[in-house]
Amino acid sequence: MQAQPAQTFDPNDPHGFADLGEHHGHHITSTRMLVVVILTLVVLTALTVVTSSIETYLVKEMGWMLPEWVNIAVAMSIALVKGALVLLIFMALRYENPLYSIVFLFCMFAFALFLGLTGMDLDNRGHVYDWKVASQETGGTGVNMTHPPSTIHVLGETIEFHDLNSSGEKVGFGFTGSLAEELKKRYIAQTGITEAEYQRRWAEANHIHEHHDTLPSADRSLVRTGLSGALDATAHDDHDDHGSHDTGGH
Amino acid sequence: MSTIDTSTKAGAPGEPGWKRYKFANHFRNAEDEFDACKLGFWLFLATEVLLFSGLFCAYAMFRMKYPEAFAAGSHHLDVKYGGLNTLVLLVSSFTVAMSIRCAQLNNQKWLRINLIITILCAFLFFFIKLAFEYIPKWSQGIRPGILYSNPFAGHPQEPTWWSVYYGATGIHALHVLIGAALLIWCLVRSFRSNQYGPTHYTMLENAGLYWHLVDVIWIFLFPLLYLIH
Repeated sequence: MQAQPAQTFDPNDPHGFADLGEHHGHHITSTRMLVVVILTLVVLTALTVVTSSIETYLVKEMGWMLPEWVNIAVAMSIALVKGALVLLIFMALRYENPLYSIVFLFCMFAFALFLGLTGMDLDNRGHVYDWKVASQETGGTGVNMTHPPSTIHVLGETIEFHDLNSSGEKVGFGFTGSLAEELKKRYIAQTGITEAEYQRRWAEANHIHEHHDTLPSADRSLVRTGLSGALDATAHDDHDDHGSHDTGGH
Repeated sequence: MSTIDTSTKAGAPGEPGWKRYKFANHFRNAEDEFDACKLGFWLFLATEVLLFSGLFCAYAMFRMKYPEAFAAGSHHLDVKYGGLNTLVLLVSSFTVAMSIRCAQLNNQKWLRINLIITILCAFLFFFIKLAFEYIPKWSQGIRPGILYSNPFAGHPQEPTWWSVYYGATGIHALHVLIGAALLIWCLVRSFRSNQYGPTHYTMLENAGLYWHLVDVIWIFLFPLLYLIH
């Protein structure tokens, strides 16, 4: 800290802050640095795409099931490095007033709290408050939803999904339970195909070919216990299966 | 010892805009004004990150609940277009950083060329998203939530994945358009009066920060939507 310089009173600077030297000019990032960063970013993008396809290849062609975290950990680590490079060099956090970095880090802290607490809540529903589960309301089941009328072009066919109201206008259809199931039912009814033909078309629409007969799968689901009925129940669920049933048991 | 700029006159009329600019009189000097603007803009960027954190949170929670639906939905996305769009945004981030460097060095011609490349990249990104992803998917009935009409869902909860996909990429695409609009505004001001130069380029700096943030968000959306399955 410098000593306060003796000077006459300045109405523009009554506290004499002018000489404290807060400004060290703007940082001008060199072209060389910017080019190195953009090239690194491009290489990392290629790397993340390649590692992801290697993983898919191992699963589909070699039948090697890598643990689920490998895919996520590799892709997200590369994304973190890329994000950090943009923030530090392109957005110049590395060279500028640390206050901007503090603002950003505080924001990340808020994000972590948001994600962490929501995840803990969802993962532990009905686990901690087992005795409370019965009082939870069922929600998010799509019961009695009305699907809007729609025209789609799929596998070379044009299909309309709608009902007619009393004046003969196209309106949406109401459904209970699964929208996906309802669409399948209506598609089969409208096209008059067999279940086997539907399965063939389903595989075609989902790009499933001979050499791998299932969807690429994240079916390495977490085994979670004690999920309440509130988030899982469908319209047909009665209140008899809520509570601490073990979803991993079958 | 620096002195306080107490002059009230802007530069002479014939001079470029960045020389004529006079900081607002409640600031001690141009640097204070620049720092205050930039801090304000970083606070705004923090709120933008929090907006997207809601979408990332929705992604994480629904993925935790329905990993198979996410695998089935992600399977419909083509890494080609996602990867291409990533490259487009990365290049545009580089050119906007270069245009700010040109402003700092008073290289008006390359400032504008870099800005134009950035703006073209923004529209290229939006075009690829619309023409190769949104429109074909929408016409096949692959739509968010209740609008979903495709009879070949890979999982009963696949519409949920599409809600997350359209929500996240839609809000991101909106930011791409807003960022492009800001950069076009900068470009017009630059053409009109050489508004950005070594001592004054606050607006360009902040528009650039906004653009970089749009890039950072996409850097995370790309692996989450296209690569993780």
